[in-house]
Amino acid sequence: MVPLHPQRCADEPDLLRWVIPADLLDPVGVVAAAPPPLAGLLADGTLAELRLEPAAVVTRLGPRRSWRDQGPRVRGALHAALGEPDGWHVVPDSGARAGDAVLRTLAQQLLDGSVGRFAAAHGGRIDLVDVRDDVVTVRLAGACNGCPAARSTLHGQLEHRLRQRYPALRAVVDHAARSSASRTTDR
Amino acid sequence: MSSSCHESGQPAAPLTQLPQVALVGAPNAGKTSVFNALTGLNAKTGNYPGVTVSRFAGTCRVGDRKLAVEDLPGSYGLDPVSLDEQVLVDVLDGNGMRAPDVLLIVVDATTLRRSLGFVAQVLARGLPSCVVLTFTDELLRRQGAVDVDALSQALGVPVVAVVGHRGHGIAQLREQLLDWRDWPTPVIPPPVDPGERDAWVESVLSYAGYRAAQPHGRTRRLDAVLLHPILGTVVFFAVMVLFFQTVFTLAAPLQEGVEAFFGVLSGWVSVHVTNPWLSGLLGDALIGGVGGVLVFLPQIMLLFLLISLLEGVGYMSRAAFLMDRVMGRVGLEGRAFVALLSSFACAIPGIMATRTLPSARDRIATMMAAPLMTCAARLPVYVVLIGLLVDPAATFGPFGLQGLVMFGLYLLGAVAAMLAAWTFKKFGDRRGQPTPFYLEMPPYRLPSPRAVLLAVWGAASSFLRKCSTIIVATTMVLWLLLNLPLHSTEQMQAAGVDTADSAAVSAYVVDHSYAAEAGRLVAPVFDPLGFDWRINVGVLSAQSARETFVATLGQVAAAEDPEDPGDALRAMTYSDGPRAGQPIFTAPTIAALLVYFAFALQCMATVGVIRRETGTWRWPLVAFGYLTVAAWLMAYLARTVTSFFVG
Repeated sequence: MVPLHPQRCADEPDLLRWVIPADLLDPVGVVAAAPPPLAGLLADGTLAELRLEPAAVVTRLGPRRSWRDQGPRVRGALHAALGEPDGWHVVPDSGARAGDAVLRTLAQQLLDGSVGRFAAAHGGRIDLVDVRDDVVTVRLAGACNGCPAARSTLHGQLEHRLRQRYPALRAVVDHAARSSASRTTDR
Repeated sequence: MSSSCHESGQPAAPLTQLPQVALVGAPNAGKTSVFNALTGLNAKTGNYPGVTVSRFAGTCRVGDRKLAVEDLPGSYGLDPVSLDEQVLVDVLDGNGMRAPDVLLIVVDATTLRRSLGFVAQVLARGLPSCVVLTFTDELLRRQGAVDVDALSQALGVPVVAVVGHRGHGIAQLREQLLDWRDWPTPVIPPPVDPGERDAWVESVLSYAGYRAAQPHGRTRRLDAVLLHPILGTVVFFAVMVLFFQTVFTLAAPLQEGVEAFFGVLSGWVSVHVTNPWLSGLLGDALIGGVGGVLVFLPQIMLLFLLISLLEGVGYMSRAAFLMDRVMGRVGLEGRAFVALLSSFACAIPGIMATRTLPSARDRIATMMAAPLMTCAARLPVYVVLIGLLVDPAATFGPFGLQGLVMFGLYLLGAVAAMLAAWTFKKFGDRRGQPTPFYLEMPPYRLPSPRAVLLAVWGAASSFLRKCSTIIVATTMVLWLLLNLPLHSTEQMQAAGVDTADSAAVSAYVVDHSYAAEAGRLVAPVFDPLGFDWRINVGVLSAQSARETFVATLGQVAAAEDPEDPGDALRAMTYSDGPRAGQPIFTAPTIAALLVYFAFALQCMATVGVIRRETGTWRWPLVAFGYLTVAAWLMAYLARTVTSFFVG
């Protein structure tokens, strides 16, 4: 069975994010067709929408239903459907860079969480400046600014963790380094 | 639930009205450390209704509120295979008691993968829960990693990392407990289906960036030696020798201290208390009786100290592993060894330790064998009797002969216990299903001093309680029985007693007391063993608790010759019957007495524990019956053999 667990999405109780292995399904967009059990849930209205995001399937619950009741069914259907990755048909998002919004959320999550706390414990701060074309730009502040270990925090911690959840990530760059035109592009 | 009765800032609220926080987790996950850190030392121990699974409850103050905290029995899952696990499930279901309001799921970070299955089962119950991650320091040290925030997101419940024995993270945990009503719960309970659950565990671990700890280097290197079939066995025997050496040699000076104290006390009483009755009661019964037993407090504390150290370090499960093959000979598994080893301290913790055995048949067989192990209560009796039997200066090779006899008695107990276990396993209840042997080998850790001290304190306080209740009561009653009925001076003079000689008077009083009557009543039973009525009184009084025997002999001897009870015992002669005038404490009689004490189940507390653990009167009665009969037979054998050699 494909490793899988659900996570709530902040402020949107009818959305559920099913975290799946990053390399399982590729494009980002609305799922137009899925293998039978999952398609059935869309057809009978249990699920209102099905989206594929990097390393996750996002499901929107149909009206007047609860996750507590429907969750196990959805999970079972997902397990079955993820067993046949070829049966998925995804319409990639137009505007190409819809992935950036996801990447921004994930990066912010890490900076608010363990990575941010790690930096804070060393007297520093990492601010998110921009996310564009799968590149995350941050600003190192406080003790991080000019600290030789900051680079290893940035790549070892933030970039590594982010890539686990968003495999298409191209780079995490330091705003200061970028303005002086030396871009890190190592993958 | 309790929302209506919960009011902050009401410290006077009874314990049952406070929100109930329950700690659940696998054995060795550090539950008890977290419990101790939350509750401090105000924990109360008790039992769950109907079973002797210890119940630990205390209160925890967070801000201006109070919470009732309970440490539930350790378990690897919620599909009960043992009594402890059944209790856990019953508590969570609120079966027969109030279900907890909040759960703290204690998880060892170094065994996170295995533990998440348990977490899934507990979370599926839908109670507000928080995962308490312990041993994160060890995980880091062994090159492992886990992202606590990501783990919390993936699980859908709060996660707090705590290093219990250092107290790190306890403040955050308290803070977290403050608003348990607002804790997030999983949107969907974790899956029940085993395949889906494995997939869930895998996914949660990978999201939390979990990197398993490297095998514990120290543990691996130590185990290479300590679990080695030959080296490990050698080390094991060395540990055992050291164990008993420490108990006996280290305790000696401490015991002398206690003895000296009671000597001073009894001297003070005989000088300052002039009323002969009161002085007799205080000096002989109270100080003599209780003092004679309290002398063994240092030894008992040492015994428990060493056992809890071995347990805390992690050696006990290795010993169980090594002993599995030996125990296999008698049809038991390695864990039964731990129960039997604990029985060297006291059969009660030993019998309670049988709960770790998954098979009911093994449990019964071990319980029937445990009372044969030489418990601390036999020590006082052995010490006194061996002192009478063997000259302290006698040696055999480099060893003192007294020590060798003591060792022989320990060996006798152990061998008898093994035979008993084998017999009960073979001829006992045959319906039991064989269960697989699984044993967790925790990494070697420095034991937390607090847990060790608490274990020692628990043992000491229960021993002190026993001394201050059962033993005080028995010695007082015995003293009365030995001194009643009252005889007038005329009566004694009529019987030809020189009333000016206090020793002769006490001898007469004791010889015509109610106790003597009782002792003579059972004489036909014990005559073949060479016991006279005074020993019978001792044996009868020892039926409640073995240590009482020493106090009784002291009283009887002191009554005949208050100046020197030790020599008095040696000089004691049969006062009536065909052997009148001959010394009582001859080698054959002492040997019979020693062997009688090695076998007999003279401990009402043990009988009570077997009753509670098995749930019926059948097994305690079986144990009592077979041990008493065996004691008599073996004592008779010992007497016959010794007579043959001594002539």
